[in-house]
Amino acid sequence: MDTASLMKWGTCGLLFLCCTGAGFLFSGGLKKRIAFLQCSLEAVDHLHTQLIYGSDPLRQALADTARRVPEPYAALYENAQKHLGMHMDAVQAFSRAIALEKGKGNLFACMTEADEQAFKQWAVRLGGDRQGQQAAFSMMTSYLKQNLKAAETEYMRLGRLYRSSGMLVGALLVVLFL
Amino acid sequence: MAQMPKWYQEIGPLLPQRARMALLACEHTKLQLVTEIRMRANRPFMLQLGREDRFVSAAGALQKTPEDPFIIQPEEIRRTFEAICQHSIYAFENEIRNGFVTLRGGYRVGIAGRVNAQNGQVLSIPHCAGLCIRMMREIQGCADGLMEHITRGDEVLPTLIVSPPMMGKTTVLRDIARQLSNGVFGAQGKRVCIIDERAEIAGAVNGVAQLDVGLRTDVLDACPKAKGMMMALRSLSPEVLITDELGSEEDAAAVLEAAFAGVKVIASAHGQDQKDVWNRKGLAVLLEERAFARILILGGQAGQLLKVLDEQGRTLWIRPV
Repeated sequence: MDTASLMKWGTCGLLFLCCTGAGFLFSGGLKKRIAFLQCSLEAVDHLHTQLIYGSDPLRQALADTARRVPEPYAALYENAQKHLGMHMDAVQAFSRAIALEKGKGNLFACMTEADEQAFKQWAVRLGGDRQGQQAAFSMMTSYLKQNLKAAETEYMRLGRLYRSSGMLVGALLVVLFL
Repeated sequence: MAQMPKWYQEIGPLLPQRARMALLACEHTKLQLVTEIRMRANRPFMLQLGREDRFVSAAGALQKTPEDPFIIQPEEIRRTFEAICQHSIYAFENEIRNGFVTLRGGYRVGIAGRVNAQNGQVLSIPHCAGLCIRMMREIQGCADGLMEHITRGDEVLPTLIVSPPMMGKTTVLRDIARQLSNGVFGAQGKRVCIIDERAEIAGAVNGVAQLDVGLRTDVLDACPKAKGMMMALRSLSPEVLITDELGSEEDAAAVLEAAFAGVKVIASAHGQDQKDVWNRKGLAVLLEERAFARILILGGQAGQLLKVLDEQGRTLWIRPV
Protein backbone atom coordinates (compact mmCIF):
# COMPACT_ATOMS: atom_id res chain seq x y z
CA MET A 1 0.00 0.00 0.00
CA ASP A 2 1.46 3.38 -0.97
CA THR A 3 1.78 6.40 1.34
CA ALA A 4 -1.23 8.22 -0.14
CA SER A 5 -3.52 5.26 0.53
CA LEU A 6 -2.11 4.84 3.99
CA MET A 7 -2.77 8.48 4.76
CA LYS A 8 -6.28 8.22 3.33
CA TRP A 9 -7.17 5.19 5.47
CA GLY A 10 -5.49 6.78 8.47
CA THR A 11 -7.60 9.91 8.06
CA CYS A 12 -10.74 7.81 7.69
CA GLY A 13 -9.88 5.93 10.86
CA LEU A 14 -9.26 9.20 12.70
CA LEU A 15 -12.53 10.70 11.45
CA PHE A 16 -14.42 7.61 12.56
CA LEU A 17 -12.77 7.59 15.96
CA CYS A 18 -13.42 11.33 16.48
CA CYS A 19 -17.08 11.07 15.62
CA THR A 20 -17.54 7.95 17.75
CA GLY A 21 -15.60 9.60 20.55
CA ALA A 22 -17.82 12.69 20.36
CA GLY A 23 -20.89 10.50 20.61
CA PHE A 24 -19.49 8.71 23.66
CA LEU A 25 -18.47 12.04 25.17
CA PHE A 26 -21.99 13.45 24.96
CA SER A 27 -23.36 10.22 26.34
CA GLY A 28 -20.77 10.29 29.11
CA GLY A 29 -21.85 13.82 29.99
CA LEU A 30 -25.36 12.58 30.64
CA LYS A 31 -23.96 9.76 32.80
CA LYS A 32 -21.79 12.20 34.75
CA ARG A 33 -24.82 14.34 35.48
CA ILE A 34 -26.52 11.26 36.99
CA ALA A 35 -23.41 10.57 39.10
CA PHE A 36 -23.37 14.21 40.29
CA LEU A 37 -27.02 14.11 41.35
CA GLN A 38 -26.63 10.75 43.12
CA CYS A 39 -23.57 12.03 44.95
CA SER A 40 -25.42 15.25 45.89
CA LEU A 41 -28.37 13.30 47.24
CA GLU A 42 -26.12 11.14 49.38
CA ALA A 43 -24.17 14.12 50.70
CA VAL A 44 -27.30 16.15 51.52
CA ASP A 45 -28.78 13.12 53.27
CA HIS A 46 -25.65 12.68 55.38
CA LEU A 47 -25.71 16.32 56.48
CA HIS A 48 -29.42 16.06 57.23
CA THR A 49 -28.81 13.05 59.49
CA GLN A 50 -25.94 14.83 61.22
CA LEU A 51 -28.12 17.86 61.94
CA ILE A 52 -31.18 15.89 63.08
CA TYR A 53 -29.31 13.77 65.59
CA GLY A 54 -26.80 16.36 66.75
CA SER A 55 -27.28 19.85 68.01
CA ASP A 56 -23.88 21.04 66.89
CA PRO A 57 -23.57 24.41 65.18
CA LEU A 58 -23.47 24.24 61.40
CA ARG A 59 -19.72 24.64 61.14
CA GLN A 60 -19.09 21.63 63.37
CA ALA A 61 -21.78 19.59 61.59
CA LEU A 62 -20.19 20.32 58.19
CA ALA A 63 -16.72 19.37 59.45
CA ASP A 64 -18.06 16.08 60.86
CA THR A 65 -20.03 15.25 57.71
CA ALA A 66 -17.03 16.05 55.47
CA ARG A 67 -15.26 13.09 57.04
CA ARG A 68 -18.10 10.75 56.06
CA VAL A 69 -18.99 11.72 52.50
CA PRO A 70 -16.97 10.96 49.37
CA GLU A 71 -15.30 13.55 47.18
CA PRO A 72 -16.08 16.08 45.87
CA TYR A 73 -18.60 16.77 48.62
CA ALA A 74 -16.02 16.14 51.32
CA ALA A 75 -14.02 19.08 49.96
CA LEU A 76 -17.18 21.20 49.50
CA TYR A 77 -18.29 20.75 53.11
CA GLU A 78 -14.76 21.26 54.39
CA ASN A 79 -14.41 24.53 52.49
CA ALA A 80 -17.89 25.69 53.49
CA GLN A 81 -17.12 25.19 57.18
CA LYS A 82 -13.81 27.07 56.79
CA HIS A 83 -15.63 29.99 55.18
CA LEU A 84 -18.21 29.97 57.98
CA GLY A 85 -15.29 30.43 60.34
CA MET A 86 -14.37 33.61 58.45
CA HIS A 87 -17.62 35.31 59.55
CA MET A 88 -19.48 34.57 56.32
CA ASP A 89 -23.07 33.41 56.43
CA ALA A 90 -24.14 30.00 55.09
CA VAL A 91 -25.09 31.30 51.62
CA GLN A 92 -21.77 33.07 51.14
CA ALA A 93 -19.84 30.10 52.52
CA PHE A 94 -21.53 27.64 50.18
CA SER A 95 -21.29 29.96 47.16
CA ARG A 96 -17.52 30.29 47.66
CA ALA A 97 -17.11 26.56 48.22
CA ILE A 98 -19.12 25.69 45.10
CA ALA A 99 -17.11 28.14 42.98
CA LEU A 100 -13.91 26.45 44.20
CA GLU A 101 -15.18 22.97 43.32
CA LYS A 102 -16.46 23.99 39.89
CA GLY A 103 -13.01 25.17 38.96
CA LYS A 104 -11.52 21.73 39.69
CA GLY A 105 -13.21 19.95 36.77
CA ASN A 106 -14.77 17.28 38.97
CA LEU A 107 -18.45 16.24 39.20
CA PHE A 108 -19.35 19.85 39.98
CA ALA A 109 -18.72 20.68 36.32
CA CYS A 110 -22.19 19.12 35.79
CA MET A 111 -23.81 21.62 38.14
CA THR A 112 -26.29 23.84 36.32
CA GLU A 113 -27.38 27.40 37.18
CA ALA A 114 -30.64 26.00 38.50
CA ASP A 115 -28.71 23.58 40.74
CA GLU A 116 -26.63 26.43 42.12
CA GLN A 117 -29.73 28.49 42.88
CA ALA A 118 -31.31 25.49 44.60
CA PHE A 119 -28.21 25.07 46.77
CA LYS A 120 -28.25 28.77 47.68
CA GLN A 121 -31.92 28.57 48.68
CA TRP A 122 -31.11 25.52 50.77
CA ALA A 123 -28.18 27.27 52.43
CA VAL A 124 -30.38 30.26 53.40
CA ARG A 125 -32.39 28.11 55.79
CA LEU A 126 -29.66 25.66 56.76
CA GLY A 127 -28.67 27.74 59.77
CA GLY A 128 -32.17 28.84 60.66
CA ASP A 129 -34.68 27.33 63.06
CA ARG A 130 -35.42 23.58 63.03
CA GLN A 131 -38.69 23.87 61.18
CA GLY A 132 -37.22 25.96 58.38
CA GLN A 133 -34.17 23.71 58.23
CA GLN A 134 -36.28 20.57 57.86
CA ALA A 135 -38.35 22.23 55.15
CA ALA A 136 -35.17 23.23 53.33
CA PHE A 137 -33.87 19.66 53.41
CA SER A 138 -37.21 18.36 52.24
CA MET A 139 -37.20 20.75 49.27
CA MET A 140 -33.58 20.02 48.40
CA THR A 141 -34.06 16.26 48.51
CA SER A 142 -37.18 16.58 46.40
CA TYR A 143 -35.34 18.76 43.86
CA LEU A 144 -32.42 16.36 43.58
CA LYS A 145 -34.66 13.30 43.25
CA GLN A 146 -36.72 14.94 40.50
CA ASN A 147 -33.64 15.99 38.59
CA LEU A 148 -32.06 12.57 39.04
CA LYS A 149 -35.13 10.89 37.58
CA ALA A 150 -35.10 13.33 34.64
CA ALA A 151 -31.38 12.74 34.08
CA GLU A 152 -31.82 8.96 34.12
CA THR A 153 -34.70 9.19 31.64
CA GLU A 154 -32.65 11.47 29.41
CA TYR A 155 -29.70 9.08 29.54
CA MET A 156 -31.90 6.12 28.64
CA ARG A 157 -33.46 8.08 25.80
CA LEU A 158 -30.43 9.85 24.38
CA GLY A 159 -27.37 8.01 25.65
CA ARG A 160 -27.54 5.19 23.14
CA LEU A 161 -28.65 7.65 20.45
CA TYR A 162 -25.51 9.76 20.94
CA ARG A 163 -23.22 6.73 20.86
CA SER A 164 -24.87 5.23 17.76
CA SER A 165 -25.08 8.61 16.02
CA GLY A 166 -21.42 9.18 16.62
CA MET A 167 -20.51 5.87 15.03
CA LEU A 168 -22.94 6.37 12.12
CA VAL A 169 -21.74 9.88 11.36
CA GLY A 170 -18.18 8.63 11.55
CA ALA A 171 -18.98 5.80 9.12
CA LEU A 172 -20.81 8.20 6.79
CA LEU A 173 -17.88 10.60 6.74
CA VAL A 174 -15.53 7.70 5.99
CA VAL A 175 -17.71 6.61 3.10
CA LEU A 176 -17.95 10.16 1.77
CA PHE A 177 -14.24 10.63 2.17
CA LEU A 178 -13.51 7.43 0.35
CA MET B 1 -2.85 55.16 74.15
CA ALA B 2 -5.32 52.90 75.98
CA GLN B 3 -5.97 49.53 74.38
CA MET B 4 -9.38 48.35 73.28
CA PRO B 5 -10.99 46.41 76.13
CA LYS B 6 -10.99 42.62 76.26
CA TRP B 7 -14.72 42.42 75.43
CA TYR B 8 -14.10 44.20 72.12
CA GLN B 9 -11.50 41.59 71.11
CA GLU B 10 -13.91 38.78 72.01
CA ILE B 11 -17.27 39.98 70.72
CA GLY B 12 -16.35 42.85 68.39
CA PRO B 13 -16.21 40.56 65.32
CA LEU B 14 -19.88 39.65 65.90
CA LEU B 15 -21.07 43.28 65.84
CA PRO B 16 -22.12 45.11 62.66
CA GLN B 17 -19.21 46.74 60.89
CA ARG B 18 -20.56 50.26 61.39
CA ALA B 19 -20.84 49.60 65.12
CA ARG B 20 -17.25 48.32 65.22
CA MET B 21 -16.00 51.46 63.43
CA ALA B 22 -17.93 53.68 65.86
CA LEU B 23 -16.51 51.80 68.88
CA LEU B 24 -12.96 52.07 67.51
CA ALA B 25 -13.46 55.83 67.35
CA CYS B 26 -14.67 55.99 70.99
CA GLU B 27 -12.48 56.93 73.93
CA HIS B 28 -10.91 53.60 74.86
CA THR B 29 -10.76 54.37 78.59
CA LYS B 30 -14.53 54.90 78.63
CA LEU B 31 -15.08 51.59 76.83
CA GLN B 32 -13.46 49.77 79.78
CA LEU B 33 -16.53 50.81 81.82
CA VAL B 34 -19.08 49.26 79.44
CA THR B 35 -21.40 46.77 81.16
CA GLU B 36 -23.96 46.40 78.36
CA ILE B 37 -24.22 46.94 74.61
CA ARG B 38 -27.72 47.73 73.41
CA MET B 39 -28.86 47.36 69.83
CA ARG B 40 -32.46 48.04 68.84
CA ALA B 41 -33.77 48.06 65.27
CA ASN B 42 -34.22 51.61 63.94
CA ARG B 43 -33.00 53.06 67.24
CA PRO B 44 -29.68 54.60 68.25
CA PHE B 45 -26.77 52.36 69.22
CA MET B 46 -26.26 52.57 72.98
CA LEU B 47 -23.80 51.53 75.65
CA GLN B 48 -24.40 51.10 79.37
CA LEU B 49 -21.50 52.44 81.40
CA GLY B 50 -22.17 51.34 84.96
CA ARG B 51 -25.44 53.03 85.97
CA GLU B 52 -25.50 55.51 83.08
CA ASP B 53 -26.22 54.94 79.45
CA ARG B 54 -24.80 56.73 76.44
CA PHE B 55 -25.79 57.10 72.80
CA VAL B 56 -22.95 56.32 70.41
CA SER B 57 -22.49 58.54 67.38
CA ALA B 58 -20.95 57.35 64.12
CA ALA B 59 -17.92 59.47 64.99
CA GLY B 60 -17.50 57.60 68.28
CA ALA B 61 -18.81 60.29 70.63
CA LEU B 62 -20.57 59.01 73.77
CA GLN B 63 -23.54 61.34 74.28
CA LYS B 64 -26.13 61.70 77.02
CA THR B 65 -28.75 62.72 74.44
CA PRO B 66 -29.03 61.41 70.87
CA GLU B 67 -27.71 64.48 69.04
CA ASP B 68 -25.98 62.70 66.21
CA PRO B 69 -27.17 59.14 66.66
CA PHE B 70 -25.93 56.14 64.77
CA ILE B 71 -29.09 54.16 63.99
CA ILE B 72 -28.99 50.38 63.98
CA GLN B 73 -30.72 48.85 60.95
CA PRO B 74 -32.98 45.75 61.25
CA GLU B 75 -30.71 43.91 58.82
CA GLU B 76 -27.72 44.58 61.09
CA ILE B 77 -29.61 43.11 64.06
CA ARG B 78 -30.49 40.03 62.00
CA ARG B 79 -26.88 39.49 60.89
CA THR B 80 -25.55 40.01 64.39
CA PHE B 81 -28.07 37.56 65.79
CA GLU B 82 -27.06 34.95 63.19
CA ALA B 83 -23.39 35.52 63.92
CA ILE B 84 -24.04 35.15 67.67
CA CYS B 85 -25.78 31.83 66.96
CA GLN B 86 -22.84 30.80 64.74
CA HIS B 87 -25.26 30.75 61.78
CA SER B 88 -27.00 27.85 63.51
CA ILE B 89 -30.14 29.17 65.14
CA TYR B 90 -31.49 25.60 65.38
CA ALA B 91 -28.61 24.72 67.73
CA PHE B 92 -29.61 27.49 70.14
CA GLU B 93 -33.38 27.03 70.14
CA ASN B 94 -33.54 26.09 73.84
CA GLU B 95 -31.55 29.15 74.84
CA ILE B 96 -33.56 31.38 72.51
CA ARG B 97 -36.77 30.10 74.14
CA ASN B 98 -35.35 31.32 77.46
CA GLY B 99 -34.70 34.69 75.88
CA PHE B 100 -30.91 34.69 75.85
CA VAL B 101 -27.80 33.09 74.40
CA THR B 102 -24.51 32.81 76.31
CA LEU B 103 -21.29 33.36 74.40
CA ARG B 104 -17.81 32.08 75.07
CA GLY B 105 -16.22 34.33 77.65
CA GLY B 106 -19.44 34.48 79.64
CA TYR B 107 -21.22 37.24 77.70
CA ARG B 108 -24.98 36.97 77.87
CA VAL B 109 -27.03 38.17 74.91
CA GLY B 110 -30.65 38.99 75.68
CA ILE B 111 -33.05 38.82 72.74
CA ALA B 112 -36.01 41.10 72.07
CA GLY B 113 -38.48 40.81 69.23
CA ARG B 114 -41.55 39.02 68.05
CA VAL B 115 -42.21 35.93 70.19
CA ASN B 116 -43.93 32.83 68.89
CA ALA B 117 -45.91 31.44 71.84
CA GLN B 118 -48.47 28.71 72.30
CA ASN B 119 -50.43 27.78 75.45
CA GLY B 120 -48.34 30.19 77.48
CA GLN B 121 -45.06 28.59 76.36
CA VAL B 122 -42.49 30.43 74.27
CA LEU B 123 -41.72 28.39 71.18
CA SER B 124 -39.28 30.67 69.42
CA ILE B 125 -38.33 34.27 68.67
CA PRO B 126 -38.53 34.23 64.91
CA HIS B 127 -37.99 37.97 64.44
CA CYS B 128 -35.18 39.43 66.49
CA ALA B 129 -35.48 43.21 66.79
CA GLY B 130 -33.16 43.94 69.68
CA LEU B 131 -30.08 42.59 71.40
CA CYS B 132 -28.66 43.35 74.83
CA ILE B 133 -25.11 42.07 75.23
CA ARG B 134 -24.21 41.97 78.89
CA MET B 135 -20.65 41.72 80.15
CA MET B 136 -20.21 39.28 82.98
CA ARG B 137 -17.96 40.91 85.48
CA GLU B 138 -15.73 38.54 87.34
CA ILE B 139 -14.29 40.30 90.38
CA GLN B 140 -12.19 37.80 92.28
CA GLY B 141 -12.02 38.73 95.93
CA CYS B 142 -15.28 40.73 95.97
CA ALA B 143 -16.70 38.27 98.52
CA ASP B 144 -13.68 38.48 100.84
CA GLY B 145 -15.59 40.60 103.34
CA LEU B 146 -18.46 38.10 103.45
CA MET B 147 -16.55 34.85 103.87
CA GLU B 148 -15.93 35.21 107.61
CA HIS B 149 -19.69 35.55 108.12
CA ILE B 150 -20.67 32.50 106.09
CA THR B 151 -18.08 30.07 107.39
CA ARG B 152 -17.33 28.81 110.86
CA GLY B 153 -14.03 26.95 110.84
CA ASP B 154 -14.44 24.14 108.34
CA GLU B 155 -18.21 24.51 108.31
CA VAL B 156 -20.19 26.47 105.71
CA LEU B 157 -23.30 28.20 107.05
CA PRO B 158 -26.48 28.15 104.94
CA THR B 159 -26.81 31.76 103.85
CA LEU B 160 -29.34 34.00 102.15
CA ILE B 161 -27.96 37.11 100.46
CA VAL B 162 -30.54 39.86 100.13
CA SER B 163 -30.02 42.92 98.01
CA PRO B 164 -31.73 45.31 95.61
CA PRO B 165 -31.06 44.88 91.88
CA MET B 166 -27.66 45.85 90.40
CA MET B 167 -25.88 45.49 93.74
CA GLY B 168 -23.60 42.71 92.62
CA LYS B 169 -25.42 39.71 94.15
CA THR B 170 -24.50 37.44 91.26
CA THR B 171 -20.89 38.63 91.15
CA VAL B 172 -20.61 37.98 94.89
CA LEU B 173 -22.22 34.54 94.60
CA ARG B 174 -19.73 33.64 91.89
CA ASP B 175 -16.82 34.60 94.09
CA ILE B 176 -18.29 32.75 97.08
CA ALA B 177 -18.54 29.60 94.92
CA ARG B 178 -14.91 30.01 93.84
CA GLN B 179 -13.58 30.57 97.34
CA LEU B 180 -15.54 27.73 98.97
CA SER B 181 -14.63 25.36 96.14
CA ASN B 182 -10.92 26.18 96.32
CA GLY B 183 -10.82 26.30 100.11
CA VAL B 184 -10.86 29.38 102.34
CA PHE B 185 -9.13 30.25 105.66
CA GLY B 186 -7.03 27.10 105.32
CA ALA B 187 -10.05 24.80 105.19
CA GLN B 188 -10.43 21.99 102.65
CA GLY B 189 -12.28 23.03 99.46
CA LYS B 190 -15.92 22.01 99.29
CA ARG B 191 -17.83 20.17 96.56
CA VAL B 192 -19.97 23.00 95.24
CA CYS B 193 -22.85 22.71 92.82
CA ILE B 194 -24.25 25.82 91.13
CA ILE B 195 -27.84 25.71 89.90
CA ASP B 196 -27.49 28.40 87.28
CA GLU B 197 -31.02 28.83 85.96
CA ARG B 198 -30.30 32.06 84.10
CA ALA B 199 -26.73 31.12 83.14
CA GLU B 200 -25.43 34.23 84.93
CA ILE B 201 -23.30 32.82 87.71
CA ALA B 202 -20.94 30.55 85.78
CA GLY B 203 -21.64 31.93 82.27
CA ALA B 204 -21.51 28.39 80.87
CA VAL B 205 -21.33 27.58 77.17
CA ASN B 206 -22.35 24.00 76.36
CA GLY B 207 -22.30 23.37 80.09
CA VAL B 208 -18.68 24.49 80.49
CA ALA B 209 -18.24 27.39 82.92
CA GLN B 210 -16.62 30.38 81.24
CA LEU B 211 -15.90 32.12 84.54
CA ASP B 212 -13.83 30.87 87.45
CA VAL B 213 -16.22 29.22 89.88
CA GLY B 214 -13.68 26.98 91.57
CA LEU B 215 -11.93 23.67 91.12
CA ARG B 216 -14.54 21.50 92.82
CA THR B 217 -17.62 23.09 91.29
CA ASP B 218 -20.25 21.46 89.10
CA VAL B 219 -22.66 23.61 87.14
CA LEU B 220 -26.23 22.77 86.16
CA ASP B 221 -26.66 25.36 83.45
CA ALA B 222 -30.05 26.77 82.41
CA CYS B 223 -31.73 24.33 84.79
CA PRO B 224 -34.84 25.29 86.81
CA LYS B 225 -33.74 25.85 90.41
CA ALA B 226 -36.03 23.39 92.20
CA LYS B 227 -35.38 20.57 89.71
CA GLY B 228 -31.68 21.35 89.61
CA MET B 229 -31.32 21.16 93.39
CA MET B 230 -33.02 17.75 93.42
CA MET B 231 -30.84 16.50 90.57
CA ALA B 232 -27.70 17.71 92.29
CA LEU B 233 -28.69 16.11 95.62
CA ARG B 234 -29.34 12.77 93.94
CA SER B 235 -26.30 12.52 91.73
CA LEU B 236 -23.57 15.11 92.37
CA SER B 237 -23.13 14.71 96.17
CA PRO B 238 -22.63 18.41 96.79
CA GLU B 239 -21.57 19.85 100.10
CA VAL B 240 -22.76 23.31 99.08
CA LEU B 241 -25.54 24.31 96.69
CA ILE B 242 -25.45 27.80 95.25
CA THR B 243 -28.32 29.39 93.37
CA ASP B 244 -29.51 32.85 92.43
CA GLU B 245 -32.82 34.64 93.05
CA LEU B 246 -34.97 32.39 95.18
CA GLY B 247 -38.61 33.34 95.07
CA SER B 248 -41.15 30.60 94.53
CA GLU B 249 -42.60 28.06 96.94
CA GLU B 250 -41.14 25.33 94.76
CA ASP B 251 -37.67 26.79 95.25
CA ALA B 252 -38.28 26.98 98.98
CA ALA B 253 -39.33 23.32 99.14
CA ALA B 254 -36.15 22.32 97.32
CA VAL B 255 -34.00 24.36 99.72
CA LEU B 256 -35.63 22.62 102.70
CA GLU B 257 -35.05 19.25 101.08
CA ALA B 258 -31.37 20.13 100.69
CA ALA B 259 -31.19 21.33 104.30
CA PHE B 260 -32.67 18.03 105.55
CA ALA B 261 -30.03 16.23 103.48
CA GLY B 262 -27.30 18.17 105.27
CA VAL B 263 -26.32 20.21 102.23
CA LYS B 264 -25.62 23.90 102.82
CA VAL B 265 -27.50 26.23 100.52
CA ILE B 266 -26.21 29.67 99.69
CA ALA B 267 -28.73 31.67 97.71
CA SER B 268 -29.72 35.21 96.86
CA ALA B 269 -33.04 37.04 96.85
CA HIS B 270 -34.23 40.47 95.77
CA GLY B 271 -35.05 42.92 98.52
CA GLN B 272 -33.93 45.95 100.47
CA ASP B 273 -33.82 44.09 103.77
CA GLN B 274 -35.22 41.05 105.59
CA LYS B 275 -38.72 42.59 105.73
CA ASP B 276 -38.98 42.26 101.95
CA VAL B 277 -38.02 38.62 102.25
CA TRP B 278 -40.65 37.97 104.97
CA ASN B 279 -43.29 39.49 102.71
CA ARG B 280 -42.71 36.83 100.07
CA LYS B 281 -44.62 33.63 100.73
CA GLY B 282 -42.03 31.41 99.14
CA LEU B 283 -39.18 32.79 101.24
CA ALA B 284 -41.07 33.42 104.47
CA VAL B 285 -41.42 29.66 105.00
CA LEU B 286 -37.62 29.32 104.77
CA LEU B 287 -37.14 31.97 107.42
CA GLU B 288 -39.78 30.33 109.64
CA GLU B 289 -38.04 26.97 109.28
CA ARG B 290 -34.69 28.66 110.05
CA ALA B 291 -33.28 27.18 106.84
CA PHE B 292 -30.63 29.91 106.72
CA ALA B 293 -28.13 30.36 109.52
CA ARG B 294 -27.10 33.73 108.13
CA ILE B 295 -28.86 36.50 106.22
CA LEU B 296 -26.54 38.98 104.55
CA ILE B 297 -27.95 42.33 103.44
CA LEU B 298 -26.07 44.08 100.62
CA GLY B 299 -26.57 47.70 99.66
CA GLY B 300 -25.04 51.13 99.24
CA GLN B 301 -22.39 50.26 96.70
CA ALA B 302 -22.16 47.14 94.57
CA GLY B 303 -21.13 44.15 96.67
CA GLN B 304 -21.05 46.14 99.89
CA LEU B 305 -22.19 44.29 103.01
CA LEU B 306 -24.52 46.35 105.20
CA LYS B 307 -25.79 43.90 107.79
CA VAL B 308 -25.47 40.30 108.96
CA LEU B 309 -28.41 38.62 110.69
CA ASP B 310 -28.72 35.18 112.26
CA GLU B 311 -31.50 32.65 111.68
CA GLN B 312 -33.73 34.46 114.17
CA GLY B 313 -33.25 37.83 112.53
CA ARG B 314 -30.95 39.17 115.26
CA THR B 315 -28.25 41.52 114.04
CA LEU B 316 -24.80 39.99 114.36
CA TRP B 317 -22.89 42.67 112.50
CA ILE B 318 -23.68 46.06 111.04
CA ARG B 319 -21.52 48.17 108.77
CA PRO B 320 -19.87 51.02 110.64
CA VAL B 321 -21.16 54.38 109.40
